[in-house]
Amino acid sequence: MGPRLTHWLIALAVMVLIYSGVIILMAHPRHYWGTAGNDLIEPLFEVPLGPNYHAIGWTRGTPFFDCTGGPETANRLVEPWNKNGWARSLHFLAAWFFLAGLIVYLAIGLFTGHARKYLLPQRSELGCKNPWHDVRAHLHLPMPSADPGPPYSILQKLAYALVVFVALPLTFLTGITMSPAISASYPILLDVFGGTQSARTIHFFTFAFLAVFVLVRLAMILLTGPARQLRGMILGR
Amino acid sequence: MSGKPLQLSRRALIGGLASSEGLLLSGCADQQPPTYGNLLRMGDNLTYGAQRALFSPTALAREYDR
Repeated sequence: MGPRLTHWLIALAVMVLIYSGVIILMAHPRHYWGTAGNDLIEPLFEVPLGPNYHAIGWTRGTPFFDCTGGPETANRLVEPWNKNGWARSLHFLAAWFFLAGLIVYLAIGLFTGHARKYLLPQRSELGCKNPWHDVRAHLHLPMPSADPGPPYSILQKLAYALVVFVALPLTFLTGITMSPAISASYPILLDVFGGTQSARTIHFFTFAFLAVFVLVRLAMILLTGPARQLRGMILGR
Repeated sequence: MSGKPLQLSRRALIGGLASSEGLLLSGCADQQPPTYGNLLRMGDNLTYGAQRALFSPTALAREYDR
């Protein structure tokens, strides 16, 4: 009951976070590594997204007088598209629900043995044969039929454990590292991730990983009987 | 006029700010921006409130060399 409720709370929050996060990313699709990043710094990579993609440019100087060769104003960077305030507010609002859900889920998972019982791979499952066999089974149609809920196959366990114990906490930590108020109080966050811009880039990669996870997971649900799987995810049977 | 431009380091400002801090803090206590019934603004106020409750009001952002 608890894991299912928090699953849906986190799932809903993550959907809103992805939506608002993409809007935020549209304002500045460039990513940097290190402590600093701006229009004048060479980006690590730039996501082809929104009106600001490859839109760094300079305005022409405006002459002060009506003659050529006279003094001009300095060049300025062109004004970027920058209307994402609502997305930031939505991102932070959803992040509160995400954080609450994640804390409750991790508490349930760690203290009731839920995680150890269902998510952590057993030593016997991690031999060379079993994961490989599972990978091969997933590459053929029809998908191996799976009953909703645990016991999970080895690939499921690895994917879920990676999401719950690595990707989600890492997304949260890199997210708060970008907050000047929080990094001022806890500069260790900047040391751990190597600077605000590095944290932002890691934040982007955890988002990409989670987005792919959601897509693959939805595909698996569709391929293994969506009605039955959804009933299991909601009602637990 | 001295040739040296006026430069106030952040450290030098701390002393000056400390004297007016009591005045400023008392003015800021329990002040939240208006929400106008907007859900997003209420969320923002939750974030503001949590930051003020959880984090040191005197913490300074890290300084970097140029």
